[in-house]
Amino acid sequence: MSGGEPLLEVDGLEVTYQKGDLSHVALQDMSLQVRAGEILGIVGESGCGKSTLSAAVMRLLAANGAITAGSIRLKGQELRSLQPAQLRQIRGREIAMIFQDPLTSLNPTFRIGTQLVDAQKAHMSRRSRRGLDRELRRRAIDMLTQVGIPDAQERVDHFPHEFSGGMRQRIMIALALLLEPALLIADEPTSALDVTLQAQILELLSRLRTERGTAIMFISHDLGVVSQLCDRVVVMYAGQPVEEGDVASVFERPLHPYTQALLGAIPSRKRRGAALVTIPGRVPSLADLPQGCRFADRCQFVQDVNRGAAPRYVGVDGRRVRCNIYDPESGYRPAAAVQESIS
Amino acid sequence: MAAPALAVRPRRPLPGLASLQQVTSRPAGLFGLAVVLGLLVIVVLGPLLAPYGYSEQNIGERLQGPSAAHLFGTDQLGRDLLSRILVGTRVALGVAVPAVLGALACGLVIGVIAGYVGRWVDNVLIVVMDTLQAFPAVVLALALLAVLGASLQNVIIVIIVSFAPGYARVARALVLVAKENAYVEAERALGAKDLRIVLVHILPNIIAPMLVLVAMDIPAAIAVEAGLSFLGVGVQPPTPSWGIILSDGFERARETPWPIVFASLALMVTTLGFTMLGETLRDVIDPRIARVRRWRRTV
Amino acid sequence: MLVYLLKRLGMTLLVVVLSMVFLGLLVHLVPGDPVKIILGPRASEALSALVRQEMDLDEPVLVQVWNFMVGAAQADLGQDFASRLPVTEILANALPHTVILALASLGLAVLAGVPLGVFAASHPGTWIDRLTGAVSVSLITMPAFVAGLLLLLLFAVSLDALPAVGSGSFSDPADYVRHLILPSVALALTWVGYLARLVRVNMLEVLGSPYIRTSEAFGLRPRLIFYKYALKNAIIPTIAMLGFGFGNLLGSAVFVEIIFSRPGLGTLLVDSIETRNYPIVRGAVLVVTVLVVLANLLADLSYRLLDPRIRLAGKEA
Repeated sequence: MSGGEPLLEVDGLEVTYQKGDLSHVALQDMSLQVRAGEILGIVGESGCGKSTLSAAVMRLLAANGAITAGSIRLKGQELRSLQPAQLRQIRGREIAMIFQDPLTSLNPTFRIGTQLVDAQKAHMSRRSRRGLDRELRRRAIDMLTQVGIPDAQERVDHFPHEFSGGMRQRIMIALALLLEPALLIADEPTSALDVTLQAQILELLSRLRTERGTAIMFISHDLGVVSQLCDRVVVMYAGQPVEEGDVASVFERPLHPYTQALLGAIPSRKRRGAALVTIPGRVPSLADLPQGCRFADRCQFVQDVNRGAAPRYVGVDGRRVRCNIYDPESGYRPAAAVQESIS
Repeated sequence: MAAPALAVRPRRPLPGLASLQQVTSRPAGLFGLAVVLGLLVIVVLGPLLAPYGYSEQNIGERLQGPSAAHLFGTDQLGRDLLSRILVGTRVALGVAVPAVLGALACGLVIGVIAGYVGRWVDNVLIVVMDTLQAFPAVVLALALLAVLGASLQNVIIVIIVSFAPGYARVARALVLVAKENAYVEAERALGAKDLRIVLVHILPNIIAPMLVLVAMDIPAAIAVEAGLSFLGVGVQPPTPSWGIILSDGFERARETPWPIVFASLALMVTTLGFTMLGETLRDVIDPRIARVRRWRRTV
Repeated sequence: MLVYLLKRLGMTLLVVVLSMVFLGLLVHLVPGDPVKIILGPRASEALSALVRQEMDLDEPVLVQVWNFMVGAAQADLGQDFASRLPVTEILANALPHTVILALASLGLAVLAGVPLGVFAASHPGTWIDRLTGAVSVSLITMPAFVAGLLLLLLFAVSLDALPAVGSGSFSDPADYVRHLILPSVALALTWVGYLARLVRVNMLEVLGSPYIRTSEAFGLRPRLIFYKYALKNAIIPTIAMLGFGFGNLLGSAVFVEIIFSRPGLGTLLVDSIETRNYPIVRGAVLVVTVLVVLANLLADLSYRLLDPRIRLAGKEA
């Protein structure tokens, strides 16, 4: 169900955080595209910049963060040049976001009905708001039922803490869907839930795409979930995208050594008895990034050329990889062993 | 295989204590420190700085406003106000500091016992502390002074009794947290005696936050002493407490405002200085304490 | 919730009972003849005998305390030494003035302090914020009786605009209010500073929380977020603090009543200490303490009622 002009296009995005005199770049050279009706997965470990990405797209960065380069285009419209009032119209209506921790994402002193109705009212002009309370409430109850909240008619007047974590996440999804956004950003929506609930939420998201054609940007650190749900995936490392492609190819034939290592690290029945693979070393601190390839210190295929200039994000077989191995112009000398592992 | 990590006690002499630089880098801290140091100078040099004796009467010059001879004016007995206020600093701090330190000591002992021993001892102590705290400080002070009689020493005792429960509660809370620390359990497992654990491991870790409370409570104690002396049940004349100066001034408010004005200024600058210092210390040592804190007693 | 209520009431009762015990024991806490302690060293024989009988000082200590408590439970706090009037009656006449003063101050403090704090929170880090902060701190550190004295000097003595003495009478409400202005403002000043800071801190904390971020992510207008979604969350702990500080308020009220020569529990307490009228001292302290304890209870309950998380705890799906 994908194809046509990209719904969201991020190009060369760079985000910098300021702390006193120090600044560090949390996101660099970030590029991706999301098409209508497509589910794009963003994968990476903590601190790789995936949450910064979602905040940047929504233009909701923390006070000490700023977009220092690049563009974000939604349906062709450049978001960086919009005024606050215009951005407010987009938030919720065109792009909606689901947060990671359902237990703290809803206002504890207001009933969920109030919060759902207010979200709708926020996007209507003052005149059209009048007298519509009942209708908006009905829509809220409707949506709650659709996401699987039982007895929605009654429970719409309850407070958030009267619901379990899984239910609260569904309420968040209901909130996100009420305005029928074209793009849904789900920032680790299932990380705080147990496996059964996780499955239910994933199923819900999948249905959204099928039934409403909603595009989803699904952010997670869980490769298994991403492989189940997403059409395409972007792998991130230390603030940059390092590999991108459709899920099947990336997972079966990972190109970037980091992706390979990640996939190798997943415990699997097939390799029972073998030692668990780990990636040696640590993610470089964003305040102290190395020149050249950021993964070089931990890469098993490292060569001197990798520590020199930063690798380019090149296209390979309809995918993209940020790795000198695949860049014929980088000066990397692929050895036979490397050839084997990538074929 | 690596040996399991030991629960090692952090090796700092007094964990959490602020550095001088941290305090002076903030304007509030700088101001507070300057005021407190200035007050210390006045306390130490007191009578040497005063142009007249504090009880030197000169009826002919009574109730004058500020002049070259008397910078702050004179009171109803012709005594120089500047001198009285300067010496009054000694009274104020001489009551407040020992009183608050005494409250700290008592509260610490009670709180540590309650927190460390626990069980019924804890429950009993909590109830007693709660009851004492149910009386407003001033009211409790008045009741106690009614039976003890009015004097400077009794004011100190009364302040100790009012303020100690507050320290006891904070100490108890801190001890409860410190008790759970791994190294305490490790020491216990090694058979260390309770007293040693308390003195060597628990106390150093809870001292810093409590010292912040001290800095914040001194202005409250100064205000309480001034208030009680104002009412006539605190420090007795001829000792020049600021409260007494205010009381004398109050009686003659229609004739001259100056005793009230200058004594108020002295009180306010002093409390402001200590408060700023205390707050800066608190912000530097542990911002979290701001929340745990109960409302300070002020008069 | 009900269980909690009962536990809390039980604790409250216990504290009140213990206060009575403490007050009953007070004269015995100090070494010496209780009669001398109460009346001072130069008491006449007749008066001493009266006091001894009045306060059951010939009985064992425990019986004295018990009698006091039983009497207090029946609203009989003895008779005062001088006029032989029932203490309860004397206290009942003074109590309303004190309560009115306290409530008026509280009201003023809220009316001035809360908007000030909200205002500072809406302009964090600016000179407005810093100025409000400085004003708040100055107000907090000024003891109420100093505020009272200064106000007296300014408005009553210099400007002669407001009355300095007495409370007026209930039969003339307007006059009563005129007499109420200076004392309640004096009491309220400290609180204004404290409330402003509290509200500001709570607001800033709330504004940084995840659920406010959710509101922003859905395009709600900033004013709506600030004045509806954030404020409600910040106000709840503030209200609780009001109740807990009531004890301090009453303590300061003692001074303000003296300074403005207002009738009330404070004036009564101080006067009776001077005249060594011990039953009134004891009774007044008891009444004040009970008021404080009740205020604390109310504050705690209001906090639990207002915060839906606590009110409805245990109803999770």
